[in-house]
Amino acid sequence: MRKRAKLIAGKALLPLLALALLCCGAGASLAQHLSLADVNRVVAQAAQEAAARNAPATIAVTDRVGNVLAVYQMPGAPPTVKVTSGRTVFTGIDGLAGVVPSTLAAISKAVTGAYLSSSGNAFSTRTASQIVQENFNPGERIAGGGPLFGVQFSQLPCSDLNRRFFNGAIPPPPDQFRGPKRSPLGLSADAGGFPLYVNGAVAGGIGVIADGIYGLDSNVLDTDADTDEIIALAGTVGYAPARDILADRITVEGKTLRYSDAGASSLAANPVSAPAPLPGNFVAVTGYTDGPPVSGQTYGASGSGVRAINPATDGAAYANVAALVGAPVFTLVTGPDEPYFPMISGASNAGQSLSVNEVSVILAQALRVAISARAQIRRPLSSPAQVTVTIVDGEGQVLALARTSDAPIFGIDVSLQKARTAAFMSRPDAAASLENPGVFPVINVTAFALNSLIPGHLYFVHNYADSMRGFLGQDALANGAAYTARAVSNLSRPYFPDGVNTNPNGPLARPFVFWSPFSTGLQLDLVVPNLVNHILFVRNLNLDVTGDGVGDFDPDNNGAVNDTGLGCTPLVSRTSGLNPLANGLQVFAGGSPIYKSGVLVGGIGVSGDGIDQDDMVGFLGLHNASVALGGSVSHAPAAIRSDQLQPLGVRLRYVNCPFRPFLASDEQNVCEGK
Amino acid sequence: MRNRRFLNLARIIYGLPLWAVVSAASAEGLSVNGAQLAPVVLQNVAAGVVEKSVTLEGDTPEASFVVVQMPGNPPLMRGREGVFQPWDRDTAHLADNGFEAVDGKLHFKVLNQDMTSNNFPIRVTLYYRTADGLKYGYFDVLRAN
Repeated sequence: MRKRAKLIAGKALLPLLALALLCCGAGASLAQHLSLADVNRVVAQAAQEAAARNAPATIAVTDRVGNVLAVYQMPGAPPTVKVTSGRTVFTGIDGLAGVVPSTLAAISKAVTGAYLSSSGNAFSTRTASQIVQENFNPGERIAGGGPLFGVQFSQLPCSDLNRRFFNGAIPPPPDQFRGPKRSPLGLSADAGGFPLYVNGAVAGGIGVIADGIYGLDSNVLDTDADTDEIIALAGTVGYAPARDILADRITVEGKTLRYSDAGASSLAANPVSAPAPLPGNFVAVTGYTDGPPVSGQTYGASGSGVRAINPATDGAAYANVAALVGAPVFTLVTGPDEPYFPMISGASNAGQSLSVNEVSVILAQALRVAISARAQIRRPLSSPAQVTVTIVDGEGQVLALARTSDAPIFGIDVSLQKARTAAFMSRPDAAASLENPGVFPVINVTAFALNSLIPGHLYFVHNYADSMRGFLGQDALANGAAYTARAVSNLSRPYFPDGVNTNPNGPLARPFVFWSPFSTGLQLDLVVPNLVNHILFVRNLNLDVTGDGVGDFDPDNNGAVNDTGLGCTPLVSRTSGLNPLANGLQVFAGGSPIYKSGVLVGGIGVSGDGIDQDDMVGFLGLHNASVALGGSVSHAPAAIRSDQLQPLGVRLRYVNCPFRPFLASDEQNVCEGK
Repeated sequence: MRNRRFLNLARIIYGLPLWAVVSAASAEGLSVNGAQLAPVVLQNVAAGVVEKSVTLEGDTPEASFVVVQMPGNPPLMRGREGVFQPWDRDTAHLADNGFEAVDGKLHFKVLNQDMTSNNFPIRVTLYYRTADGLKYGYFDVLRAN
């Protein structure tokens, strides 16, 4: 009890510095944007470097919330890329060649640079490569997987959260230029994607592909001379992050992250003297840009889709959150200027459901933990954590979403993925949902389509519910065991336990010989129909996969392949008919199921800082909300938590919190016994 | 060749509920496990008429329901008069639309309104209840680019 009182008091006494940093990183205003002149300059600098290297490139520029501001394709640039991990893996989408347009690869790289970064950290696609592989660092054996293992399959084109651009839409839909926008291939681990900064704040990203390879760096021990990366770096001149926030100033698990293997000395041309880009090289990309370059949105303004909560207009529930947190709290907006996710009560399960008040208290308590916590990935040291928090009900429906002001954008979609993953996998009908006859036959069809697209390619699909039964017993995913995103993460690694390179795979992963970041397991299999559908939509490629001489992707014969619909995965809830994982499964930590009187009622997901910080924000936030609400909401009863399961004699994890996490106290073991 | 046979087989067995491979004109039915139905592409969002017929395969519906979900919004249920209202995600609380079976099919009216101020795509879930329980299926309403 004394410990609890001390913790709450500690939160109330936030250092002034921390509050100041919450607002604006190192003091800069977050409200920056790329002007049309900026976009042209970035493109010009990159194009000049590409020309100097005789490496015709496709160059994409986005704003911070993912709007595609320009796609510039030089004559002779490879029209498509080969997706490859560089290993002898030809499953999943690994090895997909001649199918994915270079424009989509460049956009994905630009989005990644913008989305992973903030005023406190600048991460590139090279950084992403370092943190999504089977070992961290890649190539280091007997080391756990990357801390953001699985993040590559976020921001997906099928996400029901991320917004879409409609080419030539008259009138345009309300969110035509609001973010966060989707990324065509998810997040990228291929060097050549960087954030762009204006006055110390993230204003966008640049992505370049010239080598025709959409891959990753499996060896961080050497220094590459990567053409894509050098060209992209040229584009960032004048828009580079401050030296102090570069990834290589930030450590995770005692290991220094990587930002770029290229430097100013790598450049073959002087960016300052770059000639203006040729208007004819700006290209339209279906679903992303009409062609002519445009200026970016100002982050924090309503037009960006992400702004501070307005207590006067956003409803009492969000006003309550802002008041309880006592620091700037942002949310997504839509329509004229209203919350994208209005705060609502949850669906009922066995007579229990989350009320709007409970949702608002959980959300506020989680954000209070975040702003009290020492960030893992932000500079300067002792900055507070910056995260997005999302709460869903047991059907995967969003009940509320809010974030600190400078949290990285990628965490918006990922926090929802984590909340849904925890809620879905904890349902006693999860196995039945995965084995629904509507699910894997659909994926199998896509698999065969992919196999027919790539000679020698193999795409096989497991029955993952069956794999789980073999691993955890016949009642796996049917007994109501409470899984956090961390536990799902444990089960989704190509080695079990994580990082032991000599061991076989977890039940939700492919065996390592078939595994790569492009061929993961259940996570990818659930969304691969959506990904392939989207690629064919962008290319308007009406493939004949059935071999009857007629294309199979234009059912209404209007000459256009349809885009993927609202929501990823072919899953449907067996109780509501709604999609419980509508932006895909996520397999790294930061999501917990929520219970009332021992009954599953939802999930909380957190993303934006280190995974242990994310875990703690959700876990302690829910615990503190339980205290504040007199126990009406709670964590799963200890007896049903995933850490009671010991497959192969190895205990699964439930939550893992940082050692001494708070800025204003020296408290340790803060999640112990909760 | 074997793969192609599988694809054709899958098309027959499962109606190949993938993307839009199912012809919009082909027979589509609901199922107890949830069927994926062919999308509807709106060429003119100002005249947003969305309807769908499903085959009943011998079923006798006692009630029929429509749920619509737009990006960012909680699902809404359609009432008999075509008015949408919040739904608590409990299928026992869905409002009966009272569509009548004709020639072994049930014709669902979903939307009929100017949709220029809406975001897309839109997810539509159709349900009917028989004496044996609930059957349902879903499709997406897309905006033509």
